[in-house]
Amino acid sequence: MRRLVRAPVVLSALALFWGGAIFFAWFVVPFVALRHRDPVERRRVGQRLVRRAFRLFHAYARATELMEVEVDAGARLPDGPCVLVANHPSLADVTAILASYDDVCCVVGPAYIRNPLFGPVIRACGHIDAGTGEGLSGAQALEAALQRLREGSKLLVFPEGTRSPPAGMRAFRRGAFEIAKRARVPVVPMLVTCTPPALAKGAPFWSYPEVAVRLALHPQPAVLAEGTSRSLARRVEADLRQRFLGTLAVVLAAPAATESARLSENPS
Amino acid sequence: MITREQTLAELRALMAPMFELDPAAIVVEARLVDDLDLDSIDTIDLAMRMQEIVGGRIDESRLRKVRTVGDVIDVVLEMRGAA
Repeated sequence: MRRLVRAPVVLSALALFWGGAIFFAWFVVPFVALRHRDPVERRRVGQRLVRRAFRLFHAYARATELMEVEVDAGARLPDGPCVLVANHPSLADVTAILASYDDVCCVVGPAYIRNPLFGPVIRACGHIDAGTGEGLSGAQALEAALQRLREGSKLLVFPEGTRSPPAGMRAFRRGAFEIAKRARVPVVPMLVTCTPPALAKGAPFWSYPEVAVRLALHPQPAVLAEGTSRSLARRVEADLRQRFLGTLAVVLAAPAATESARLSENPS
Repeated sequence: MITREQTLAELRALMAPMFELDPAAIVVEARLVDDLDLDSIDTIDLAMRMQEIVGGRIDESRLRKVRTVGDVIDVVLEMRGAA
């Protein structure tokens, strides 16, 4: 019964989100572009407006008991540019991170950033096209990322390359760490927890949990980009994985007896 | 006129130290990712060095089609021919 009531609420939130994205792409972005000529200024104005919209959206999600977004109060990000590397359990982590921090540019998959309906708003906020990675393409994404960091922005990368598998994490690619090394900026690992799991890769909207989802951001202390990018990626991945398993052991007891949960119970 | 052989020799000299490869493994048919074990960052670095060699920007759509050492040679020769 509750599921029957839940589905329209989830649909309304999705309609609000995507409708808002299209509205911003077609009505807000051209207005901002007219008023602000400087590309960096234009991007920051766009980001501020989108951040406010995300906060309103989160307020709607909270009011409808769909989702609560929480950020570790004690943890602060460095003031200057840095590379944020986060695990990616849910589609909502992106809005949570972008709503919580100033001037963050994200590396975005081509399916989103090149979308004709809502792609313009993603591009207007200075987010970076990850490209298809075919052949030798990819230099443009790297150059754009370094440029954003030079301009003082923070860069958000999901080093797993796609959303995390249920109650787990994929191996980290070294791209984000190589960018941090080349830009000489610190890496800030960010643990994202989503309990119960929601909006994972391939999950249909009607499978949305019946209880309010708690999406929490836990930024970790900054790590200096030292050593090779491969060793740095491995080190940060191992540390984040350990913390992630720690939260699973506490939060997820029985329902998802996943490999990760079993591992955390039997660390043989 | 620079030949394919000369370009291959040039690429060997460039790629062997850059990616810690055996120069003998750098042959025309070698696939960059599958045979030479380059990852995405390596391929970006290679593309950037290619742009330095030819002294100009190589179109992203052209770079997307590069799979083998032979493809790299083709792009370098094409860009030099056009210059």
